[in-house]
Amino acid sequence: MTSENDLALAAGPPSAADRYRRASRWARVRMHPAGPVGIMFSGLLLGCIVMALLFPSDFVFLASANLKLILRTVPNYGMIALGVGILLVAGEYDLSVGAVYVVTPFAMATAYTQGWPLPLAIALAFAIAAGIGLLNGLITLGFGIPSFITTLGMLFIVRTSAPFIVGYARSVNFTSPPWLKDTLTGSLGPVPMPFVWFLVLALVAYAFLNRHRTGNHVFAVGGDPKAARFAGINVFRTKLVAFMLCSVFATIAGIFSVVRLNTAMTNPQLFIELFAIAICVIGGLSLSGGRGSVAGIVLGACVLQLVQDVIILSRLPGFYLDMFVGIMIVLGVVINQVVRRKF
Amino acid sequence: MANATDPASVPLFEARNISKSYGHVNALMDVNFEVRQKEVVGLLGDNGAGKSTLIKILSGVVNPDTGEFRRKGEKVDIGSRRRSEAAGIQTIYQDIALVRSMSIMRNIYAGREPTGPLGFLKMREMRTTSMQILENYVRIAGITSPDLMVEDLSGGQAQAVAIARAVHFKRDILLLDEPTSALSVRETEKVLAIMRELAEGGVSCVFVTHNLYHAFRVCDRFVVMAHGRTVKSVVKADTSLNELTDLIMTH
Repeated sequence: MTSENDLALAAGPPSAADRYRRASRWARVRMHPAGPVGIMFSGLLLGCIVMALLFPSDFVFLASANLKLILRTVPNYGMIALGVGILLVAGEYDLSVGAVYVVTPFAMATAYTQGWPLPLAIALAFAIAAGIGLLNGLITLGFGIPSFITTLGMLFIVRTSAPFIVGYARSVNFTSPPWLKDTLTGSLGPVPMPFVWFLVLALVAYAFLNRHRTGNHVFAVGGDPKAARFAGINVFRTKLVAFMLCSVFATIAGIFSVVRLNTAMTNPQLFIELFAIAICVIGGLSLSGGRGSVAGIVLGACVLQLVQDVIILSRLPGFYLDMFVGIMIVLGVVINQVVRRKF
Repeated sequence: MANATDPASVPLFEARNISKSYGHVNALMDVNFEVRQKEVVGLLGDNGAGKSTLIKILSGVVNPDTGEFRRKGEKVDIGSRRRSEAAGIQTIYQDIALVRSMSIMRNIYAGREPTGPLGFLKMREMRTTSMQILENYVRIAGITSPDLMVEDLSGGQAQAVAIARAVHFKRDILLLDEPTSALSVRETEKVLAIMRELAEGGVSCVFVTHNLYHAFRVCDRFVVMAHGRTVKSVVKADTSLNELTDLIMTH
């Protein structure tokens, strides 16, 4: 089975290591779920650079202020998408992340302004997030209903709950200590800190999904719950962990936004959960679970932001973004489907 | 046949007086079934004979109403999948053995990953061992890397991986429920050959099939079931394809 181009010079019977090897580099790129989005991203980036060089005064893509803006805004949806992506790989949806993104930091800010120590206020936000994720999971898995429905309901419940808690306030000031603001929203050299943290979180998500036992179970239960169960994997517990992580990532993203704006608001951020799902789909994650990669999510978030940037720089109306996202969701799924079949 | 060469004639595994009913339907009535050392035993019978109920019971998915199990003469509890696996039994199903969207390596270790202190995977160990598993139990054409996705394998290759996975984790009884029904002729040959090799290597196989020709090719012994009872247990030397066909047809 060893091929002619085998470089091994040693004579003797072929060992297991000679017969079976890592897939070739090309095969790995081809099989990688982030392949199409990687190509999409490279093409888009190249197009932007070319346009910027051709029309330096009209298309100011390469201006450092513009590049910094992109790096600052990518993490906003990107961090949410990391959690949504983990849950998608597990074969479930979470539409409530948009509400969690708003409400948990709001709870943190409220507690902080009422005199709670900061760590405790942050812990409160994560406790609420974990609680919502747990509830999403328990209802979905316990009653065997689609997570689409559970979390759609949870979206409305959570979104409307904040005003009740704090007496119909619409916004709360959150003046975080300077060190916190600096570490979360400052800059590391020329790179904005939110982007640095986004990459750190992406690494954490990668370590979890691809290098950790539970991550392996996430892929298994998303790919084929029945086979996973027969392999002795606890499907219920694995999905529950994914639901909770999803809410936690949304809370992290929400805290970044509140620290940046110095204000926590309860008015809903429309469609934020759908943008997160869109990023995942563009990034090559399967809506039916079991497939996807963190690299795909990161690239998907970058693609979305690049498109938004192009629209802004070209002075096109804002709704073009929504339209483009719509097209890309459908196109993304089609491309992924075609690429998989083609090879 | 296998038993004759085995000085300790204690069966590897015994199910005694197993009964199971669903409401008024008696799926199994007082069934006795044994698996001997180093044998391939064919579990035959028409649809509704009780084969799949028996397999489900042996693999711990379904609990019988009455009956007991012995492994090498000692009573064991196989009331759940984990306990059944602990008793050395592994089931290979026709379709749900592997997660298609995962690589061979990750499938081999799904649910029993070697991990470090924090639960992180020992990737290098997984890779080396899965290469050895492929080398030792499968050696099937076309499997060149443990990184291949199961969905890119043919049915026979996937079945071979499922078998390798089961065998590697110290199971010595394999229940194969219609393992060849979705396979091409050549792949079927390969799976039949693997069963033979396994039996000689000390892993007994229970081969559930509708295909008497396949069964007759590889099995040392045949157990024929009909209407929830075992009708006959006969070693290959004492029977013929025609007799087996008659047994199944007349009951």
